[in-house]
Amino acid sequence: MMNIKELIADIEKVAHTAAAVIPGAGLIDAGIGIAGSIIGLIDKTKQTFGASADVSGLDAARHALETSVSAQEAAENKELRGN
Amino acid sequence: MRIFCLLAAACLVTGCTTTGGGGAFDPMSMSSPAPLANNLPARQAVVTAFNAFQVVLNTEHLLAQPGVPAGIALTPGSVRARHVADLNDRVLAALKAANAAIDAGSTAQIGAALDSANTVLVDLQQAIAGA
Repeated sequence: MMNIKELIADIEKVAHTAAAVIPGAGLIDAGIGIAGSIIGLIDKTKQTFGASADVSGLDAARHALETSVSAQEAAENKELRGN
Repeated sequence: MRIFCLLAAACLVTGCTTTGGGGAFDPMSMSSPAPLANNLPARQAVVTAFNAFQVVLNTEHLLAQPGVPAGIALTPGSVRARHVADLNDRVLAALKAANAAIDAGSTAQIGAALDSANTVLVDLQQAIAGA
């Protein structure tokens, strides 16, 4: 299994690079939004692996995520399909 | 290129997907292992993959807004946007299948579902990046 600390360090590196680079391209709002999303992902990843021994917590998280991500995916697809 | 790098971060996370092993049969108790006590790495992988997919969806939403340069914009209703929407459906279906397989305690099905999710996420990354 991959080293989680290395994984998080790699993602943090990308997030900081994105935060620094994208505003320079003129997409300030988008850059902040995307970097914010990735930084949020890092927090969630840390929480996930910090609670890795808690099977019931992980089960609750994955079922809750299935519901919330399904709703987000449906909304996003509606936007993408233009209807 | 920048978008590609950002999406790579999301897919980097899903790259850690491992299926985890099933529990060993315990001859002393003569009972089969409880499926819900196993596959911990798979549970972590699914949670992380859902989180990564959320990041991708957030990115798609931003790219669908007015004012995004034509090369990277996901113009609503366009062929590219509809293709991305189709891939979204496939990623979600794979993640739901992984969740169901974990609930059923089927290690083989978990592995297949996570592999499928990872493959489609890479396709999605490339589609968004215009590759």
